[in-house]
Amino acid sequence: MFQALESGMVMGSIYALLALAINIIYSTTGIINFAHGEIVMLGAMFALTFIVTSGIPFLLGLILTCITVAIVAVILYYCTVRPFGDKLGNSLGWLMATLGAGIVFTNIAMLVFGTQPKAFPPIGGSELVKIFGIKLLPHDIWVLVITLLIALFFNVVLGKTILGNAIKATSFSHSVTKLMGISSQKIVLTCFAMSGIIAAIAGILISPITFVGPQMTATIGLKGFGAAIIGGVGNSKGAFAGGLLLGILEALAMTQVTPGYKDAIAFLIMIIAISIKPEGIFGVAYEKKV
Amino acid sequence: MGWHMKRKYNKEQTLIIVLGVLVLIGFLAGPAAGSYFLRLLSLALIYLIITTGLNIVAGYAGQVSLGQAGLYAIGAYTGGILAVKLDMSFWVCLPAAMAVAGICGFIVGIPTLRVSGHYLALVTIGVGVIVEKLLVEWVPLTGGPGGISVPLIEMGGQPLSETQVYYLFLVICLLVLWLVKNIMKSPVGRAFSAIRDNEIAAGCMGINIMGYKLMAFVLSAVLAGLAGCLYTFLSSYISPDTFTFNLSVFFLLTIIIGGQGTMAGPIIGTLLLTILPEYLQALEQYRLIVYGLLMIVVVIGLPYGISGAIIRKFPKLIEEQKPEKIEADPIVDKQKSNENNTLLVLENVTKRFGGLNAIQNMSLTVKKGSVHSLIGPNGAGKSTMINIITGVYKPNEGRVVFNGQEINNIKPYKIALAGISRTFQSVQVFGKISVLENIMVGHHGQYRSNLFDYTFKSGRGRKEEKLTRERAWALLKMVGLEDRASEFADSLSAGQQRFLEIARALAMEPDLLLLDEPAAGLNEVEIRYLAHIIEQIKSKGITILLIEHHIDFVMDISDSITVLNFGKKLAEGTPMEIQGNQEVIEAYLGKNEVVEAC
Amino acid sequence: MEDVSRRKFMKLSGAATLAALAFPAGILAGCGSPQTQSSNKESDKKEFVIGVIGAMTGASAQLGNNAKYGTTIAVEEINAKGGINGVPIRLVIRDDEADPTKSLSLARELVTKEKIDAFIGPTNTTCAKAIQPYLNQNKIIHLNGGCTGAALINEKEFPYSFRTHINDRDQAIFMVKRAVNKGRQKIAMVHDTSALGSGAKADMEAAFKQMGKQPAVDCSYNVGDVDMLPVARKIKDAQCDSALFFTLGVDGAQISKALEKLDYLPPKIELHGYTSVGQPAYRDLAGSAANGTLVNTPTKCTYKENEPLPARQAALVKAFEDKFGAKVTNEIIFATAVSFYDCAYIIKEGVEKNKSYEADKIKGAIESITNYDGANSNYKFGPDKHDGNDPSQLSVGLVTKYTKGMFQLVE
Repeated sequence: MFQALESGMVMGSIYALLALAINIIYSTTGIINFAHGEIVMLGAMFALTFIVTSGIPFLLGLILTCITVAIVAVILYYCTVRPFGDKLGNSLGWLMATLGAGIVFTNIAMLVFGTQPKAFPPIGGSELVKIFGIKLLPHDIWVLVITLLIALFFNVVLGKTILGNAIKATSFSHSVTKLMGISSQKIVLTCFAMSGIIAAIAGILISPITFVGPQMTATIGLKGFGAAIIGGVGNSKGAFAGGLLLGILEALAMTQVTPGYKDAIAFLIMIIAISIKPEGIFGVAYEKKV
Repeated sequence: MGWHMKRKYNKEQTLIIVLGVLVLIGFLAGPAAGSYFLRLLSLALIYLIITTGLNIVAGYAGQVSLGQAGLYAIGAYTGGILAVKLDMSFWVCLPAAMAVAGICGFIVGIPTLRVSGHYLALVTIGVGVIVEKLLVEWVPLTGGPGGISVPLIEMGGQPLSETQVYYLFLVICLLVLWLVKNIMKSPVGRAFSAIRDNEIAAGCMGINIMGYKLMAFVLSAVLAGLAGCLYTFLSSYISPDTFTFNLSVFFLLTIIIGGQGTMAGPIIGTLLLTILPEYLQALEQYRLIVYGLLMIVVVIGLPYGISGAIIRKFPKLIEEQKPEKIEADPIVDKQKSNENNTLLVLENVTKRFGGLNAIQNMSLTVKKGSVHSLIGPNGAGKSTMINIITGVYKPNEGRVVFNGQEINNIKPYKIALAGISRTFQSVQVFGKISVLENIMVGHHGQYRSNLFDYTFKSGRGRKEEKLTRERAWALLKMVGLEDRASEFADSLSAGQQRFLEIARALAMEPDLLLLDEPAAGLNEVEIRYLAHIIEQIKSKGITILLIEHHIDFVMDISDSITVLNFGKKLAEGTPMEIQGNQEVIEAYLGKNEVVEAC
Repeated sequence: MEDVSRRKFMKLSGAATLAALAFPAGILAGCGSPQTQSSNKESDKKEFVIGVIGAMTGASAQLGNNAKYGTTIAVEEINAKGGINGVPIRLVIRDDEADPTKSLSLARELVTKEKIDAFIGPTNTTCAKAIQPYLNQNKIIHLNGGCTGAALINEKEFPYSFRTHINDRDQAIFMVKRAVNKGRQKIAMVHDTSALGSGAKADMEAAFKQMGKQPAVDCSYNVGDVDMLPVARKIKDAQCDSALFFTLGVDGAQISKALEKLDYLPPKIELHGYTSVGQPAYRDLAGSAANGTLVNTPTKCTYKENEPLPARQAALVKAFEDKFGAKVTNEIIFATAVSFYDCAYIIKEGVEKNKSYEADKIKGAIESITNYDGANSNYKFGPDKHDGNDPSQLSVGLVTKYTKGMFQLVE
């Protein structure tokens, strides 16, 4: 039971990390980046190349990975989001474009890195430690702590800084932001880069758990999207809570039913959550103005 | 009686018809190309059916579905299980698969009523995943991951040959296309497009949004079930591996590339995406990269899909043929002898947004047949009043009585059907359908025909459609837009859109017409024209509640005026009385200034 | 009566593009069709076409690579020595992405457009189920090199289908027998929920029945699951002393790592995997948790402690590395790749025995092969035995002791 709770929290943290990055893009552009799972995968691939294959020290490797993935995220913005201009909200185009980018990323990764999954060393070594009677990897604790820190960071950044206000303004209206003397283009780019950095960190954190391969985020990506929506898109507290909740519910459900139903149950939870509270756990319902 | 005429096609249209016939001949000659091509064409027909269904819900009604493979699987497995476990023939399996998929579509539709956009995408993805997992896990029923093998289609005890199966599919497919086309060019199809383009405005046209969304889901699910069942009998083997998320993406991509919301979209998309992989095979391991890149390039380069791009390049293709004579009376006479003299009564209505009182303790009486104006500075609560009357907002306190019936707690579409129509302060036309169709949407509530009439083109349905069309042309002529009937409504200028909104509102044959700043953005000539139209409307006995800032205009045409300020009633009376009211002058212009400044 | 509808013309306008698209394709397809039955004359045979379908992209890409690499090397060798019956082989390889619908479309393409004489593949059991009826209806000699579902080979239903790779049923019997004979008391069955895993479950259950024993616990999971603790816990709670892994490499590694978390690894329990546990992924990913895991392997693809690789297999490894790069043994399962390699040679045998390209003659010739010395195993076919491999060819290797994809022989 506790072991299940622990592994649920670790998976939940990973969903939360994905949800946080999906959120930050949503909050400025109003789109969901369906290629985010693949960007996380690329993060893991780059980390593997820098840290394991090339033997660059961990911290430097981490920084390099963050920079590379941030660049990839920015490129993604220019190729799949920017061309739609301000008409993002009304078109399905971005949805297909980001899904297409996901396919491209996966298959390029397959060509370059091969299809064979590879191991990635856990942070804090592979010695198990015993806490409260359950054995766990130090890595699991790192995952929880880092996710919490990132969530807190976002809560502060979005809530209390100038950047946060600028992001809010951008999400309200691009033209209004311009009037206020803020370049909405810059804000959006910043957000994509930030989402790339979180993706890189998420990639490094996930790698020892899922192994590094082109398909590593195939289902995790969709669940990160689900976590963001359960929590209420555009809300970092919600993303964190939504991710953890999803992970824990999933793990607990697994102690009761056949594992084959796992994903079905995860999505059923999401559908029920959305139907009951469409605005998300932490979301606020607005009356539409005509 | 009316304007009987033969269809006339312009040059572009004729060219297209010729090409269409050629394609049909191509399909008819398909079997000559050999077994492999036959299978590709059979698959294309199946995909054409399912994407036509998806086009109803995603293209016309604007509800994204990324779970269509799930409904497709339900149809396929219903057919397969009935054929294998209960030994039923194809001819029984087919309707059963459609029915089961339709019921599932209904169930899927229910949570989607509460959500839209990304939420809807997630719900539908979830449905796809859940179905996929059920297929794998529910072994006694579905045969589990190993799938089930299915016998061939039989007719009179003999299994059909591949070619016969192909022609059977072709007939079914053509039938589906014809029926769907009938529905899409009926009020139902227009209602879907209206919901897609502007949900709130659609509600105010008397369209039951929930009902139509559900109908779109069910229709698309029924077609998915049909396609699934055909797939089962084509392949004689089904397994969960086929019905993946990627397939749902493929279906959506098909209609996006082909062009959503057009009948041609799925046809173009299906042909392109069934044939394209042929050429891509040569790329070996680079194939999926190219596929992904194509996805991005096409959605960016052709935002309306191929058919959308063609239509925009050659607008003559969708030209509405203008009748030679427009004789119908644009406005229906509402001058009935009725003792009851008051049409609309608001009693002590209050509406709060957060802590702010937008409307406070407001009472208002509108007399039948009058032009009643609401004036007041910005933020006085005028538009809020209109939104309360039409049900877009629910009042916190008080009641609204229309024609003796309390309407403050019923849905906007029912209020619209009761006889209240409106225009919007910021124009809300249905941008991606034609000007003429916009007006025909307004006529939605007047139809007595049902889905059956539209699908099979019954006499009643055709007659109503013809009347609506005549009336719509008359209304267009009245507002001076008859030469732009075929254009997309969002290509009109702001002023023209205002006139279009008025015409659309009149198509609803209302008792009460609410005009929210109809003169905003109009020039002098247009304002005079507007006044002329309002006179015409009034002369037909239709009551008008008008919000307007052009004081001269209001004074000219109003019978009575109510002045609002800060959500409260400041004054009420005839234009003469209001002009002399000191409080009004102060509210508007500050103290000691003169009315003429307006 | 009615005027022109604009939707009608939207539809029609599409037809223009559609016609433009349909016609080149129609002509293309039309070109190939008229001479369907003509080119099978024995004397003027210009080339012998072998079609291969496998999943070379997507999650099962590794499987498809086994097929691609194995058949490519074999065909190059054969062609270098003058081809089949003096006719060069042309190899046509297609990727079905593990989707049965695509698999069947491609099989039709190979048969009707490429006019294949024989077929090797596919790599996924559901794809095989989708295309086998079609291949057999069209009398195409079909060699299955890597789909291990036992039911796929059925001499009556699919008279033209043969298999070189050892099937799941044989492996299950081999594993269960071994465990019972070794005196294991509580044996866990571990398998995924895919077609492969659920087929293996049935095979293992049948094997247990045959041995008059019951499995202690049945553990299933989804392919690609990350959190395998529930599986590991189930095994530990039942206090199993043996676990039979019908898992793919990655999933097996996750389970072993989960067992490590619960501190329940060999020697507390014996882990014995079927051939796919030999995928490099298992040992690479499980790390220290892989120590002591046993794996099924064809006896021919093993080496003895402190001895070099068998000469024939070493030569093949070199051929693979020369053609596809030095790291190739990390991208394939050597034994499976050479099973596909053997497929091409079995076809050659079948054709050359009667010097005939006719399917029925080739079929008869293959059925008469009683002891073919293949690279994977020694094959024995017969009219009632289209599964050429059998448990007698199987050994147990140690997962962590390997060279170039071959395992050190344990027993």
